[in-house]
Amino acid sequence: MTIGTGVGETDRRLLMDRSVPGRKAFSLPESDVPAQELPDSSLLRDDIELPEVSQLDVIRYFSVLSQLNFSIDTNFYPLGSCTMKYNPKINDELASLPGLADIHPLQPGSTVQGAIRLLKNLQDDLGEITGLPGVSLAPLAGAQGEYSGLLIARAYHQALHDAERTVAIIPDSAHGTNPASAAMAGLEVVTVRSDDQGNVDVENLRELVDSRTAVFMLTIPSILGLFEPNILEITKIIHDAGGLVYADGANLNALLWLVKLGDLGVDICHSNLHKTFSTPHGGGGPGSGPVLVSAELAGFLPKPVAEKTDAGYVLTTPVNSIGAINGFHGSFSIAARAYAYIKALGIEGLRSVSENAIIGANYIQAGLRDRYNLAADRYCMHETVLSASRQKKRGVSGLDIAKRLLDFGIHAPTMYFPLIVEEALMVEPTESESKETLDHFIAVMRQIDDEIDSAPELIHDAPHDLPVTRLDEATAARRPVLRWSPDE
Amino acid sequence: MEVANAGMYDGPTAFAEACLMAARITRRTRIGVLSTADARLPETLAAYSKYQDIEIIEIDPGTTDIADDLACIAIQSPNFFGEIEDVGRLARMAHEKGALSIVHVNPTALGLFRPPGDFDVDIVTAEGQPLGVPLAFGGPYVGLFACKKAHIRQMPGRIIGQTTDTRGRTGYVLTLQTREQHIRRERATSNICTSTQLIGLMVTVFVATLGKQGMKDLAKLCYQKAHYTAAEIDRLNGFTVEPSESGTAYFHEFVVRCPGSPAAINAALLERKIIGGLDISDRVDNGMLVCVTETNSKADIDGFVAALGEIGAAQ
Repeated sequence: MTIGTGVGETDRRLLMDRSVPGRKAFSLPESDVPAQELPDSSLLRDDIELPEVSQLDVIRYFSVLSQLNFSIDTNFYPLGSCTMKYNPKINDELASLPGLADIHPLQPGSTVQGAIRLLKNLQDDLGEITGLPGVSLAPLAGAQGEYSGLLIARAYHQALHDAERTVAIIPDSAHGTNPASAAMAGLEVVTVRSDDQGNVDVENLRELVDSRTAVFMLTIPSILGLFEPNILEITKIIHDAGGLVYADGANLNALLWLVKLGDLGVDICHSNLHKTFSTPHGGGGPGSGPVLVSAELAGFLPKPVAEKTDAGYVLTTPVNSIGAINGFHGSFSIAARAYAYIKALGIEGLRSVSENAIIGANYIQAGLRDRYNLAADRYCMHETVLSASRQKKRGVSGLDIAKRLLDFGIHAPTMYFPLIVEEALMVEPTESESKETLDHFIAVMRQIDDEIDSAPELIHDAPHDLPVTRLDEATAARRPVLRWSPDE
Repeated sequence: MEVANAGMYDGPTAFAEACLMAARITRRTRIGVLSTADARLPETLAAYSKYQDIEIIEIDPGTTDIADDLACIAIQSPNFFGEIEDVGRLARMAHEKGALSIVHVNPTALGLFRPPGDFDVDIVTAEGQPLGVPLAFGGPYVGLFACKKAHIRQMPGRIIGQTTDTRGRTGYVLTLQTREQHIRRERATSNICTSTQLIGLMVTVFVATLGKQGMKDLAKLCYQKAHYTAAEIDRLNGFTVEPSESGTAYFHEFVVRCPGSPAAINAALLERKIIGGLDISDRVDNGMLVCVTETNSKADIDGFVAALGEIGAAQ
């Protein structure tokens, strides 16, 4: 056994490496029923290789793991396109109420009227916010909402006996899920260019639409965090060609009670409740990605959809439903958190969310534009995409800057996305952050820019004070170590 | 199994993605799903595979011969009726025809019954909810997904790998990302970009806390209480516990054939503040699927059985 270096040394052993035969964290009660005969031993397993640890071991292990993480509760987290806003803790408490947390998805409707009513009210609120009144809360994440939306588009065209529409037009700036979902939906992906201002190249779009256009997928505001000035022209081009307009709702935090997607000509969208409506990201889920459509498309929604009838609240299957896309009714307890968030602010109060998100992003952009290039030199919406192209010429990459930010207690922005911007650093401060935090971020970004000339090694070696320095990802992929074994 | 990913949305989506993965690996388009599986599994698969030239074939669990061109046999065990399927035989049959075998398990049962890895199964999926996740009216849950290492480049979802930092210290990264949508775009193995990690964490804490002995005890408790309940119900006039079709064992769910419509019996049970079994009269005449777990005390069980007896006598 080696002696540690003192304070700050953390035990890095995995739980399996802490295992001691016979040790237990918890004992189940003895069976209170008469003993029953076990099945034939050929059906039974001999042993199961799981940790044998004490309850304190478990508590310490997971508590220390949580301390090894940056989180929105501990640090400024301007991860662009992810909307890492504060998640009010009272929403977690509400979702944990026994009447919401301990109900079975298949118990009789008469015993879960409150739950179904909650879903119905949230459907109505989301429909009102987006101007798209047909809502299913079933999708379990944004990508599933997106896939559902594309199935709806295909079902719509088939219902019109127009099944030859098999092309999805997607901007070159789009998030990877857009083409991945389109491929799952059997659509051919055609890419439309962005112009030098980050807008959809309308002339290019005109050339691409034809009788095979099923759907145009657009993130609103754009992936560059920009308002799309030609949006009405774009949706008209698509509609005139017989296609549908799909809006990726990833950036909905810029639009709340300012713009309704339905008013822009959008036919289908999804909303990421874990972004815009403040439900926890949880390190990568659970998500919730309700799909929202125009009244004309509501009959195609995935099941279930909550409805109010004379006999009370019921879960229904829409008449031309694309079917079930998962086991039950969606991320119910996430929906409960989002509903609490919306009710706390009031629908009209949501407007100040977006206003403050937009002001914060523009404040950062104004504070850095003399040092960092902008993807597009104009007012942004809720996020700003910087380019470290000038810094790159001086020997420091976007990745280096992101790593150096960690030394200052700031989570890295989204890097190298969108792909069309060189050395992209996508910064989304959200409405949660104070002016002091934004000022600190601006000052740190300017200091890092200074360090390129005064102390470049500080940047290249960053991060310095985290549990690990830069990790060898190449070896991890070349020689994958993917599970615990006694010798690793 | 050799490797697992960091989690899928839920059990049915994990199952659907496993079937699509088998189609990619075998380059075949017909997916065999056992007829004893929960209808939610093929239903979700149908939505996931609608535009992928996939055909879903229903397979009888007793079949001794399958077509030559199946991508996989997908098995739920314990199945929808709670019974343990003959996974070893079915997996061998699949492999003889160049197909893969997929098993969708109840993870709690694996504290007692032999795991799919014992039978050379290729892909294992599960609903993670029984491992300490609140029911919460259906979600969020987490889908568990594991496979043979040979198949990993066709696996969907996030995969975590161990590596070292510049000072040689152990660290962890998302790895094999060239399978994923943010790099591969329309050629990705899946569009998924979450791992439902907060729920995955609940499962990890639950399994760590129960540990080796606790997971065995948990499965045994479920088994004992369910079998006790089944024996008590079977003694009631008019109620029979359906003998296992496959002739093997059942875990903690079983089918009760009722003297009348399960809907009417459940309504009468509800008046006594008991939520009865699942009405499966669409699959079994007057059938009710009963599930008993470690959370049900003997007093609760006896109360339920007594109520069933009284309601049955009044029918």
